[in-house]
Amino acid sequence: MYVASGITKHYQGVHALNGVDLTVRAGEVHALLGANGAGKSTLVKILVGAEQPTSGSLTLDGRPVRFADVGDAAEKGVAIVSQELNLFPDLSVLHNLFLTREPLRSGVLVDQAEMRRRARPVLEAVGLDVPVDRLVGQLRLSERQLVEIARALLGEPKLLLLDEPTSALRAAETARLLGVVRTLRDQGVGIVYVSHMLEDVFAVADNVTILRDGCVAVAGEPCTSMTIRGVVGHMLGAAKPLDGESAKRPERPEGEQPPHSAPLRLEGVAVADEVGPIDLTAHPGEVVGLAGLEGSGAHTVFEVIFGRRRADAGTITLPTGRPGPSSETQAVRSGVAFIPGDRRRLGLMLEKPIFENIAIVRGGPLRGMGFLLNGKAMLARAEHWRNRLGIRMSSPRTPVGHLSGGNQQKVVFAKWLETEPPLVLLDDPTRGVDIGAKAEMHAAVADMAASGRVVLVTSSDLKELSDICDRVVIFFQGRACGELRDQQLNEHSLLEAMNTGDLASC
Amino acid sequence: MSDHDLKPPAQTATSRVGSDSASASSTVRGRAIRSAARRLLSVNEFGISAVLVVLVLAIGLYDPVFLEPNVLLTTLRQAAFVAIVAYGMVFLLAMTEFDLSVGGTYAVCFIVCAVMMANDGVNPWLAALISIVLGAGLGALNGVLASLLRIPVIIVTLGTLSAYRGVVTVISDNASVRGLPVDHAFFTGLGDQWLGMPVAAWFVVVLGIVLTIVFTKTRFGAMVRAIGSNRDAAAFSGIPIGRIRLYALMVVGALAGLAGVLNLAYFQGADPTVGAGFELQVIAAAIIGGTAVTGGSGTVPGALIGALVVSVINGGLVFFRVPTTWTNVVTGAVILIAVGMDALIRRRRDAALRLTA
Ligand SMILES: Nc1ncnc2c1ncn2[C@@H]1O[C@H](COP(=O)(O)OP(=O)(O)OP(=O)(O)O)[C@@H](O)[C@H]1O
Ligand SMILES: [Mg+2]
Repeated sequence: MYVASGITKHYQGVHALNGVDLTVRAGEVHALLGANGAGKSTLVKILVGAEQPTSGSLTLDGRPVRFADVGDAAEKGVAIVSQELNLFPDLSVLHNLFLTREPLRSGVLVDQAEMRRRARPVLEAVGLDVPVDRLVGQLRLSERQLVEIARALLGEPKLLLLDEPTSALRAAETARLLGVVRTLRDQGVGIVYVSHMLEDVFAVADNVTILRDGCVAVAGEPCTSMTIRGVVGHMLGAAKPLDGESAKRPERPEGEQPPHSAPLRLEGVAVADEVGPIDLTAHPGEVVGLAGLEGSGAHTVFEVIFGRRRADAGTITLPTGRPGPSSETQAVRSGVAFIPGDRRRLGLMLEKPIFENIAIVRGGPLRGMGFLLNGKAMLARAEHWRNRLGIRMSSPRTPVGHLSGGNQQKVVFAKWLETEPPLVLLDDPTRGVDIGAKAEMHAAVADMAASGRVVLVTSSDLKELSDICDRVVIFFQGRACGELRDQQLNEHSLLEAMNTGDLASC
Repeated sequence: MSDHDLKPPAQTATSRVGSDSASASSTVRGRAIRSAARRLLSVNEFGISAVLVVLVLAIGLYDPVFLEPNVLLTTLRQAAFVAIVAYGMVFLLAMTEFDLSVGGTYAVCFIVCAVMMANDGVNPWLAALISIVLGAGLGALNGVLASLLRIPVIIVTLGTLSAYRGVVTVISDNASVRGLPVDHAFFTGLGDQWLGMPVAAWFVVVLGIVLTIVFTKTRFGAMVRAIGSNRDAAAFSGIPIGRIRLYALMVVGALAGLAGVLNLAYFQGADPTVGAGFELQVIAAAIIGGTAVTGGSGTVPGALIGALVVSVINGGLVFFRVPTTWTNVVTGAVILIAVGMDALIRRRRDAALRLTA
């Protein structure tokens, strides 16, 4: 049993946690919920010694403990899968898994064979199917997420802390992970499970604790006594109650011409043996989803439209009338915005202030703010987005890296919306965002479409796809094999079509 | 305070108002002083400036001759040549690039300028201008090579440093250039002083202001810092990394050319061994000044202070009569001590600022 009592954590001026208690028992899945910035990650980091509390105490199996760092905690049986992955991109999967605890041969040489032998069952359990010698930097985000999980499992912890482990995972991978969690629980491992996917939480958790503004709102209630609606109420507090339905787009006023009236056209676009040829047209005002399993080509199409990959054949016409770009710079200047799924690597300058992050595309390559940048104007824009998207920050001058994960995602969103692009590509746009803010961001997407932009979306969250898209194009083995719309479009039809490439049954 | 306690209660109310406002105004003043002190402390260059002052005073106490105007002027002039180029190096370091070839560029521009104007050749002003443009061109060559060959600038410039130095030997035929028009206004003006400071130092002041603004307040500067803080995200944001790097290298090249020209104006002679080890002084100045090699940030004024530190150490050692065989060892040791002291001051200061936050 792991007990945290009276945990308080203050960062310069920010009260992240105020006297929080949490008890995790062996053989229990304890969900830890709360809105973005509520303090979940902070609490989890304190539990594993990655941060030291300002005050409060930790007791493990009746004895007070104080972990010097994460390695120390791991030795004592407490492991973490952190929200922002901590992997080494230039090392192989195998070396990442065993870093600092490599099995040795005759006390000096790293025992590769032993590492492989021990890694195999764990990788199988989490369903990661990549060569273990591949560099982690070459893996997709979802694969990296699984490496991080596998690394935690390898230490055979007594207590496992999972901070949004499924935010980058697809449905099948998530289901598999939930299976692993249940197995571990049955073996007597205590598990803390942080997530914004409330369906998953209810599927796996025994008890819930809900944080709000750094305080405990619900303390370790059994899951069976709660409803999703009730949980959301506790998370968001007095803030607006959700109407359950996701925001559907406001109708565009009759007769009003959108500012960018040309469609996006792909004609016969093909990339090596990965994709194509593909024809696709998306009109202004439309939100079009691209769905498919990894490697089906949906994501490659995004990269081609954004100039990160070259198409070997076919033509692209952007809504601005320009041809397909040959670099990101050209794409941005031709009016394309790409909200990336991997915010740490592609989205943010973590140590730079929030307002600089928001201004960098418009003020930089787009030259939208003149030669001399105006700090006041940039700060004002950051304030605008703080209000529009509800970014929880103490000031626009704080480094983005000090924000909670969901709030960082909102900054990425703001940075690209700031450019007022005619074409918007969204890749998992609401990863790690809480349920309230998600609705806000979906509304922002709907607004973009309503103002005459072309919006393309991929998402690992099929509910999100079916909620915000007018139609979803299904990709299967490199081809667009049809589309789902209206009543046909729902999570189940999507999942089936993505896995079979067969739309007839929908 | 104490006297109003003795007053009858009837007057207490009014006196309390008075004393409150008096104490309020004194706390306001106290707060103003404290916030001014905080602002001074929180200036990033505070630590290294303190180190500089200590160094100057220490050498001056040991041998007051060091503090005489002409000695200080020489030190200042040496620092000026280094500082001008270190300003540019700040831009490169901030985007996690190194230009090792600045010593070569500096020497090429120096020698080419001299050869052009020797024996009543080209007008010295024109020669100077051409040399600065040449410097920018050599910088551009570094950038183009790095882009074409897809190799890091540090590697490219490792090669061009040697190549540019070779060019100097070829052009000068490994001998001093003769026949310079030393009576020309180029030498009597640029090489001299103006309002009590070497003209080169005025260039340092003006360029320092201009480049500080470019670095902190312009689109170009913002993109440079963005590239250094997260290269992948910068590329993803549409920042043309190759182009920005090219511009930064051209700026550094032009500054190296300018430094070479100013040095020629002062020396009035052209020795082919000029600028040996110059690149390391430049990089040291930028880093000592507080520009992190990890990229993302930098300080142009810091580079000036760094250059002064380097130059004071180089000049000051003479006064300690360090045997010439030992100067490099001692210079290295003093630089390490200076940077170590700066780091110490920073840590102490950060801790102090956190406590009072
Ligand atoms: N290093 C830091 N410096 C300053 N403030 C911080 C730092 N880390 C976190 N915070 C602040 O502490 C608060 C709690 O953050 P935390 O990351 O725990 O939120 P969270 O509940 O995990 O949110 P999310 O769901 O978005 O991940 C936030 O207001 C955040 O800005
Ligand atoms: Mg978090």
